[in-house]
Amino acid sequence: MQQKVSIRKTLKQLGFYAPITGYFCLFLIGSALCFAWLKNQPRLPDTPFHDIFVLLLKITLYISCTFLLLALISVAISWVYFNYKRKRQEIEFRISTRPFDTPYQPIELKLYPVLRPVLGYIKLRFVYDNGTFSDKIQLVEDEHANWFNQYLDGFYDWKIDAIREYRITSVIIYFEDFLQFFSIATNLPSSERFYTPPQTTASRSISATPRNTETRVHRIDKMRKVKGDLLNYKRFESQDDIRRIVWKIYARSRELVIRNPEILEPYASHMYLYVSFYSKYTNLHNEVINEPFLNFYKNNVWNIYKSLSREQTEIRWVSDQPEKAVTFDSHPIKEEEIKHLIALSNWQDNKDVLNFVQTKNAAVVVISSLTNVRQVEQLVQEFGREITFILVPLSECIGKQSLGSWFQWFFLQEEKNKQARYKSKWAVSILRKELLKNEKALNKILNTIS
Amino acid sequence: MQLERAHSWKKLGVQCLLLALPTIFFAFAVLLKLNANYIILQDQWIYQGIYFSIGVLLSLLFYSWRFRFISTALVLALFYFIGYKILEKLAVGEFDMFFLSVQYLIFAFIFSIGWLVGFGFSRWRFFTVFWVLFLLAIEIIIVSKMTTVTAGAIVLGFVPVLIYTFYIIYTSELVRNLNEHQSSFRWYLTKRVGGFFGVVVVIFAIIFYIFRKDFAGIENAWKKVESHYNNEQPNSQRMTKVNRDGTLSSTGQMPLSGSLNKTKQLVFVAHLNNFFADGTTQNPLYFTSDYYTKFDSVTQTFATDTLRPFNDLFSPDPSRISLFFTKTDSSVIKNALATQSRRVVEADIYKVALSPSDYLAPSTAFSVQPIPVPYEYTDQYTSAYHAKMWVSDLNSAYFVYNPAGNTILEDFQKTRYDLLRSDSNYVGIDSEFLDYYTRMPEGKSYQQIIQLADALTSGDSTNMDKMLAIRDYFLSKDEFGQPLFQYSDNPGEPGLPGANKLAYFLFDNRKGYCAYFAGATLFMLRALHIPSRIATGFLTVDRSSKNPGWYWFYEDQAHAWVQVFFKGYGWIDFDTTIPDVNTQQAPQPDGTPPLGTQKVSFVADGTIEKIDTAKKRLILTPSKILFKDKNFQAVDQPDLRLNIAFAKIAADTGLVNFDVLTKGMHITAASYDESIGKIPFQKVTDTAAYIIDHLQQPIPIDEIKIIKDNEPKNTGNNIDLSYLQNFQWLWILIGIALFALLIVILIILSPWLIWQLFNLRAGKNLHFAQRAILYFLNQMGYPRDNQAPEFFAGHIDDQFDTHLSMFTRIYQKEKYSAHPLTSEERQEASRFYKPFIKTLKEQIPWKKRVVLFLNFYHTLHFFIKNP
Repeated sequence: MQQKVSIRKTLKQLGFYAPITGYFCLFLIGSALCFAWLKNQPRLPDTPFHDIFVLLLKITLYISCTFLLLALISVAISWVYFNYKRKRQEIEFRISTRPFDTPYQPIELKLYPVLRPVLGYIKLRFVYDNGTFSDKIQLVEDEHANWFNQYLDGFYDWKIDAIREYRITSVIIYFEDFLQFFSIATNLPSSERFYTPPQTTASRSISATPRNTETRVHRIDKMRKVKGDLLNYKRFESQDDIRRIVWKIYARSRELVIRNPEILEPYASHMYLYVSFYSKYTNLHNEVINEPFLNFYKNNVWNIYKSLSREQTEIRWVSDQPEKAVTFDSHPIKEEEIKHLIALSNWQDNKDVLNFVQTKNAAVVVISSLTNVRQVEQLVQEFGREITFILVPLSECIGKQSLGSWFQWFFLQEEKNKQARYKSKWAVSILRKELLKNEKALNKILNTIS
Repeated sequence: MQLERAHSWKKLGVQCLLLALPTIFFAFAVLLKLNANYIILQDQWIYQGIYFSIGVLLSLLFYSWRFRFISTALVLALFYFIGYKILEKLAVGEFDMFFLSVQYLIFAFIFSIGWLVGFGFSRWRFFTVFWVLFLLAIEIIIVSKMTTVTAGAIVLGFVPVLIYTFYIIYTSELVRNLNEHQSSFRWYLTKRVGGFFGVVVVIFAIIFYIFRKDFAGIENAWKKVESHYNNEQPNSQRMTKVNRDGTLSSTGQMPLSGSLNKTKQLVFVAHLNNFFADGTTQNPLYFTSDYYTKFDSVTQTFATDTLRPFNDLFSPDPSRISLFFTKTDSSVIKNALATQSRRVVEADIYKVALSPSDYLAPSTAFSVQPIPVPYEYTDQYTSAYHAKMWVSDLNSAYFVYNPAGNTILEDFQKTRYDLLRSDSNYVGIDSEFLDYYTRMPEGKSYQQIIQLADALTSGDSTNMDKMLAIRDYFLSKDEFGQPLFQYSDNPGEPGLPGANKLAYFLFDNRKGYCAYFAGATLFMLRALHIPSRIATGFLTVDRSSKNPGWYWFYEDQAHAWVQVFFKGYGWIDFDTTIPDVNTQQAPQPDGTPPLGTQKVSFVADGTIEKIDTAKKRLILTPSKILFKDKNFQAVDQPDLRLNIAFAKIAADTGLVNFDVLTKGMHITAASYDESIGKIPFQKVTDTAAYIIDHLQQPIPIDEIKIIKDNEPKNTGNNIDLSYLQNFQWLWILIGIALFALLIVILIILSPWLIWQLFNLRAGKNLHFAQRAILYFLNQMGYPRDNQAPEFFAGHIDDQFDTHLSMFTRIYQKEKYSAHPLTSEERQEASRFYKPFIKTLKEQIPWKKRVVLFLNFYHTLHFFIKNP
């Protein structure tokens, strides 16, 4: 049970609390270099050079020190004030998120009271999912607000790549001076949850036919047209449900009648969408599979769902996620819930395709490149004509390292996300060859259908 | 290829406005200054500023897309190369190509700097710091080298760069922090930039107010100096040096360099009471400041030697001698070894730019008496002195300069040559003296000089004829009838470094200034075993002015010549430098001499005891007095009351205000009041006491001179020097190392120290006990992290056979339950802590505990997880 602590991670986290910034260290190094250089200047005797030189150096030193002192004091005062108020439990802190459909998660934050450092900044860093730190951010506030107001109130559009659920466990508040030399931090706990939804992209048309027939009870909306017309009604009998008595008719005619339930039983009314997150390589998974590939897959299945729902109203989402299975039987399925479900989904290895897909009602089965070829082959052989199989080729998530992309890399610096890192990591991954082979085999099998 | 933007257009606009624009303005200013200083820039600062601006703006625009720097800079270099090749095709003629390529290089360099700056502002956060610090350092040097030293100019030159430095550090961060999702930046930026300037104004006002005296101090100390930082070539010299207060002094050495720098500055004016036998024709004499008797053959420099035998140089510091009091050194007369044709000649020297400490007079001077500058001339002359010299009748400035047709002069020359020819051996002269003054460096090139000297003087038997032969050689003409030697301030240097410059002058170049002619003459004379030395000072030009006996000395008259020793007649000046045609053509218009010195009747020298500023009186403790030109020691005499209401107060630098006088200051006070002289003078045992007794006090004083006391010179300078040079780096390093060691020890011990604190507080209540337990377990490698407390306690109990679960339960109850703890529970909990820790300690061996306690990361982890 004795645990090991990651030194690298601890040091990095400690760095987030360092009271001085790298920028300041650089300023000190630069100043030292300049001073060393100036010190070696020849003194030029019998000229005013040395006198003026020393005076200018002194003034520079004094002014620099004054600026630094002002910066430090203003930051320290803000920090002390905040902690004093916090100790007296006078701090109001509210953080909230709202649903969104862009790559940016809007996070609204209110904090009171704060004392802003002179011309300085108050910045934030979110700690989420037990110890992951976000970038240091600054809220977008009302630019017309009073300088000395004690409300920190604004929003931040947080760009998050991974599609999943997040929990902000705490927020680090940084008091920073106007030169960005000092940055004193304090921690506020939080328990805000939100999830990132999959992105909707251009839709494609999927040809699939519903295969499941469900019996549904319809309510008869029409009142009888003609007096005495009791086509859809029958007299109340003692074993009937009293809730079905049509009181309107009773009011008119003093007859107790009940509706005849109309059973709608069209042929193959429902489309069951089976989305498999099964992977036969779970022990070989790396960061690339678990993050960009999973996101890619989630986006794809969401768009498949959207495309289907445009043509077919009765879609049932069947999930293979063990713990988070949401049953949709009792109420109509909302898109929000599907999105949430997708966000919560993860690769799994205990429910393979054969066990998961109910061949009786499955209309569409979505599989990834990580699916077992044999099982798919078996399914295709048996139900290839009835069930539509859709393969999401994960290798498309990270394109091939073509000459063009090298050229692009040479001239363009990609945005500071992990895309480039994923690319190189995937290029040397052992799983890459295996996956490509698997994907090719799956494609071949699926092509045999038509 | 998909182009992504690094900054929005809005942010790009802000960068151009807040960062690029001020930088461009600043660059224009710097380029203007650089163009003034460096000729290679060809004074095209406007074009260069435009190149820079285009570089910055294009770069900002370009890098607002996500382009990489290095690869794109390589492409830019390729463009430069292609541009150069095209230029090569276009240019016709070598000169054209040279001109164009210089222009193109300047363009490429400045544009590249602009490009780099643009990239730095756009994408490279850390660049800005280095950029501004680099600029600041450069500007400190540029401003320090400014030529007109006034407080206003320094402040105006330096404040912009200082503001720019902090402005860029501030603004670049401000722009970086702009959130692209903000709808508008306008008001936000206006407030912040405005606020910044508010802060800057306050800070700068305070700091510059604090330093205002330093600025004024520098202005006062250096305002008279025209600094020559840039027009001095690396290999050039001046015959005089400029002092801190702007005055001129002798340099003390004379290297043979490629060129000579001179100015037309008036240095001093002198009245010399020396006439030819007719009593009316002026006989000008060179004014000597120093003798160069030493030669360093490595650096080829003539220098002064304080250890020369028979030192006949009288070099007092007139600024330290009290006004009207005379300082005499008769030993120089003895050391002059001259007994024939000598007489005492007097001179009055009025200093203009000459240093107050310097003393110049024709050789051989032996006496100095500081005198006041007449009131009407105080704005022209800073100080003055009266000198007495033991002058040879045979000495004259005329030797190379020989006004033709002047019979008096021709007769004089003939007479003196004949006299000097009469004795040409040095029998009876001290051998040390002869050895010293005929010493010559060894070497092949000096052998050549010896051979030349022998060849030139082969037909001459006397020393005088040899001297004349050497002079005639310098004045001779070559086979084409052109002068063999030419005067030149820029003779150039031999191509081979370290080659003998005098040999180069004599045999190849044949161009030079006074140092070359004097040096060459000296070694030719010494080759002939004639005792000789180089004298430096000022050459005297008789401009036939209306004021006989008055001479004006300008900086370009600073000169070097040769003195030859003749037995019995002593040292005689011979100047072999052939006339400089340029100087002869443009004589300086001379002014009126300072006439009208009053006769002084009483002088008192001493220290100020008390000053009454309201009545303008002061009380002086006298040390000596001067009465009717007689000097009396006045130690232990009663204080004198002086009326200084009408006194002219002078320092070495000129007239000063009354408030400069302070208590304890050494002054000389002089009175021209004739009534004072009327007291009957009697020689008694204590004459000073008698005179002071008979004076009518307060004594009306007309002249006060502040005398510099022998305090260590330039103390202020030494402080400045230690500020930068004598910094105790070693001690600071040791101090830093010790401090770092202390910090390291503290860090190593900190987990244990924190444990001690926790342990100490554990008895207070359950909360602290629980925290101490958690800390100890964490340090032992059992962090709780996100486990449920009961679960964690269970694991610990399983591991160590303890009852942490029980304690945890009680603790949780106290913390969360509405029911208070029972007394048994309370007792159980309070009894739990110490045995628990003891059990843990028993089960974990102490060596392991020590190692675990040294692990600082466990501690960090604890505080990150349990803040």
